[in-house]
Amino acid sequence: MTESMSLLRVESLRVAIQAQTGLVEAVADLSFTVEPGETLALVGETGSGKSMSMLALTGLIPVGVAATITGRAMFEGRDLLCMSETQLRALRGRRIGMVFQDPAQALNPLMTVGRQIAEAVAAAGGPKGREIQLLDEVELGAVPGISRRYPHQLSGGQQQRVMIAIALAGDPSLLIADEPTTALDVAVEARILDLLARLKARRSMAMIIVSHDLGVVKRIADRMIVLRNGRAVEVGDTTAVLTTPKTAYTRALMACRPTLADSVARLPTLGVPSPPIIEKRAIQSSRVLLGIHDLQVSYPGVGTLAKPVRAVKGVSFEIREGEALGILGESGSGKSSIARSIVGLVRPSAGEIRFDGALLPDTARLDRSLRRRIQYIFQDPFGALNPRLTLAQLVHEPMLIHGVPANETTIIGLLEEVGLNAGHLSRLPRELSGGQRQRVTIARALALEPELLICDEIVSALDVSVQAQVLNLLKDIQARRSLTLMFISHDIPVVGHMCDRIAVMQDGLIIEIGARDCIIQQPTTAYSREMIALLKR
Amino acid sequence: MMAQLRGISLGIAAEVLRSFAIAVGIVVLTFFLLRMIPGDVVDVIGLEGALTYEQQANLRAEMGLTRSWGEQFWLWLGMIAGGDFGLSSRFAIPVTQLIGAVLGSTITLGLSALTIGICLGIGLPVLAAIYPRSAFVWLAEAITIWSITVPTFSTGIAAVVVFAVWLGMIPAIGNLSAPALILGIDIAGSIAKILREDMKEIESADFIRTARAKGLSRTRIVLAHILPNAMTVTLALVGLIFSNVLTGAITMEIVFGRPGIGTLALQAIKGRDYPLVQTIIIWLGIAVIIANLVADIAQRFVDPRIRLR
Amino acid sequence: MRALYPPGSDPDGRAFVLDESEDRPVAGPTRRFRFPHLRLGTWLGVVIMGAALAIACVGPWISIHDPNDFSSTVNAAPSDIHWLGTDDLGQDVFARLIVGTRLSLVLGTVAALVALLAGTLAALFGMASGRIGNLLVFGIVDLIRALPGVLFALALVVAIEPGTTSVVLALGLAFAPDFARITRASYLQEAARPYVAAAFVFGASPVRIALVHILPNITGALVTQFAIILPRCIVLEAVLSFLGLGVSPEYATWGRMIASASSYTEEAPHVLLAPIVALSVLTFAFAMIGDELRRRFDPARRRIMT
Repeated sequence: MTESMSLLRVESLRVAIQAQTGLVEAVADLSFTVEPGETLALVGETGSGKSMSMLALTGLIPVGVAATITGRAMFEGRDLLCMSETQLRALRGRRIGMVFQDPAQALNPLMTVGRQIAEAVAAAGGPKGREIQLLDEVELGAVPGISRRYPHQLSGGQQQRVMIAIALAGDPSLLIADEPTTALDVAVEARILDLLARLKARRSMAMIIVSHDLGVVKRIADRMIVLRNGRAVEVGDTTAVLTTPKTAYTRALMACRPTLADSVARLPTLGVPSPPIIEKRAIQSSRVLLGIHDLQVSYPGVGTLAKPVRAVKGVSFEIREGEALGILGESGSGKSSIARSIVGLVRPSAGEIRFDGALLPDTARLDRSLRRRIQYIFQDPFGALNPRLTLAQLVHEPMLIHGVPANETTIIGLLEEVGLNAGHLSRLPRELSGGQRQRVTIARALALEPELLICDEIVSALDVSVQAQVLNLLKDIQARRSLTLMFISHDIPVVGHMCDRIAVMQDGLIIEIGARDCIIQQPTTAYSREMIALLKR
Repeated sequence: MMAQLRGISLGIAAEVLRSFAIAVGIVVLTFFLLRMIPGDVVDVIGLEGALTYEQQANLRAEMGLTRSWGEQFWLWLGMIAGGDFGLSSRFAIPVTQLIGAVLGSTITLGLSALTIGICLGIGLPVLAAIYPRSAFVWLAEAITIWSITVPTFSTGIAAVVVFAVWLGMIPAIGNLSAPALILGIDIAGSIAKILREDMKEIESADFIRTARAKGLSRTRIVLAHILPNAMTVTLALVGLIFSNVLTGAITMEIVFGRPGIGTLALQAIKGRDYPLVQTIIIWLGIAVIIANLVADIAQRFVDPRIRLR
Repeated sequence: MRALYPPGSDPDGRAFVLDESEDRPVAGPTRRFRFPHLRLGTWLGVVIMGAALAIACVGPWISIHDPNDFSSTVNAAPSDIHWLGTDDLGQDVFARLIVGTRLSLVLGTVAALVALLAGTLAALFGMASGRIGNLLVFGIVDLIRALPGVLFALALVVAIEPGTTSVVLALGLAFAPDFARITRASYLQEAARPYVAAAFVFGASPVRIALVHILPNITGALVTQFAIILPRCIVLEAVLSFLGLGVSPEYATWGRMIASASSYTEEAPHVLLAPIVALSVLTFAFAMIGDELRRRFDPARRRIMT
């Protein structure tokens, strides 16, 4: 009986990298196969080795990185790992096509889109003019003058379609897509994934999708592999694995994410079983803590004569004491601008902001006492801490500025409240992980005992498992200190998990606002309906 | 499209205005700075052929040097506005004529050096990038280090020594190839340094990974992807390079004793020849400003991200 | 490329692992001193600098002759008595070279410091004083940069009676714009970072933000610039000396040596070459060190060209 030859057969792949902290095994003993025409997903968090394995297979490991690669990778009968650069180059772009994560960065900014696709076609030995066909295939053919446009003139979705066209230029038998939709909005992501599915079917092409997002995997992959720290932890049919995961890790990975049907107060995490849940006060006072009326925010346009960009076009809402309001919207909807204008990072061009009844005249010059009561947590855990200050200094600073007496005990207390300890006092930010830094940012915000806490995409830059930990922490803190929360995010399940009421923003306006359950179960506007529907698939 | 053109032109207009303001600044600064130097042309003339105090005073009055600085400045401004840069106080010949006589020489030197500089300065890094394991890499590094390490000034003198003393081949004075070559290599070194660094940085950019994933040859990646992106950065430095060429040419002229703007300026400063010095410095400064302006405008047109918003 | 994390220690199947084991820091704990891993060129630079500093300190004691002593033999070739020969006035070249080392280093450092102070303060002042102040200060900065450095310094030295002070001042002013520009650029860059916004939201005063948050984080760029400008000061001083407008005549700087020796290239080339080689070697050392500093402190930033 002849064994049908797999398109790609990887055996005991091992990639060791010389990193700052020593020799690191990015991929350790990974084996899998890909059959012609099937879609395999590699799933894992940061550091799982999923991207590195793909780069190693195609010989695209970045130039400055010293990597040792062992194992076998038989592609169409030949071992990729034994090939020279010239041989690999012949395969890339022809038999194997690749799509990467951030299309804005992945395209040459100085070349028109048409030329970049044509270049790929020429390199693969294709006929001139084929780029028109390719553009049609990725459904960009209808856009007027698309080939003469430059990458920065296209939207994220269009850029990614161009990337896909480039990858398809040589009629590959295998398409490798590394986090193809991570940088895109939810709606766009869905369309790109559908496109990929259609292309795959039409061309009978095999696909390897690398992702951290189980939702993506569910939509498009036939089989999946869960990677953890460079090793395959679970392999199997997508539906099988996702319905009945066999390993604790996979189970935990799936459970970490808040779901829409969530009424769990606390997310399970990959961690020590957490202390008992503190019940939030059920009674909410009716005192309005923050009132926004017809807020408008504009930014000066780019370029000497450009018109100003209206980020927020007239937004009104209230937050009552003790509640958690979620502001939900895609990037560019204006949600961050609202937050920034409340704390004075941006001047509103019109509208009123009232805190505790008092009108805030000019938020850029807020009264000290008011500043204490409103605190803001940034998204970027890597940039939000002064790299030269120790944690002790960082946590002490807000108190120092406001003249609040503080000693080491107070500071240690704050650190412990966020899950760090006294041993971290003399550490510098770069010695902490992303999750730990975010905890420090929270500790700083709490130092002044604020009443209102504005969280701007605070977990978006973190891995799923770490997200869960930080969200749990936040919920505990909110309950313990009776904080009012304004939670901004693009991530619907997270907002659903954290908030009592949700305001949906689109294009600078709030299109819908209401209780969490109402919005999620019965969205009234078409936009929200589409968003929620995409998640349910 | 029209809006975009308007946008760009407004940006350009702003730049032009700024440059003009700086040019004015140069005129003013030069004028008053020179006047601060002790002694004037009459002193210098007086040294040569002993003039009595009375004769000196008369001469000064004749030349208008007794007027207040403010007055002199307005007169000067008026003259320049009319395009008349005055007569050299030493030689009583129109300043423009004196400068014109040597300008050609300086320009030749500058241009030759610039040509060598550009050819080597761009060629070597490109070749080094295409053939990473070849001698080109070593050459590019060497030329970069050379330009950092050895000031043209001392290279020039050493070259004079070498050629004149030991090889006895080329007369040190007046010849073109030696100073042009030395300056050219120096310029090449500074261009190469910037270019190499930029190219290395771009090498790790995402779109180069895409280019590699397309299966393009190394040559094509370097020429079509890395180089254009590196050049847009280098373009911003054209003004600086121009300034360096100018300074270098002047230095070379002084060292090699070659007639040119440099030696002329030196003479003029020593001789307190105000009109000549002022005019030279103003022209040089304006030349640099124009070079910067051209570079700025070129940048706006070359980079599509700026050109089309 | 994302940071890579060392593999966790738990085999599969265990239900619980330590908190945050998946989430690792980018760098290990900062050990107070780690022996630096440098390139060959940089090591060379450091060694040369060390030697130069040593010579500058103990110089006067190790040379046999007094640099200002006239001997009878003029333009002599190197010999046992005069290691590098004598110059046109019979002075010992070696001794003068040594003295010149100290002079050049001191002069260069002082001039570069003047440039640093003048440039940085001017930039900070310009940025703090609103639109007009800004335009004014940086207009002047651009103005000085538009003039060829040599001529500017020349004119300044001549304007303020030639001498050591005027040379130092002229050099300082000629290079101050470079510091001004880099102060401004680095400041603006840091000011755009989230942690500065965070300090603002906490209610920190602009003074506090500048002193505690921004300035400490731009010292790297400034130090790098210092290492680049210092050798330029030394070279410019040499050029000025060559033109007869350097420091007071009793100081035997390399520039002066080059100047006087250039008339005797035929008879005594060694007298000319010695200071030239010394100058080149020192400049090389600074360049290597400056390059390494830049690699460490300015890695991902667009270089502000000087």
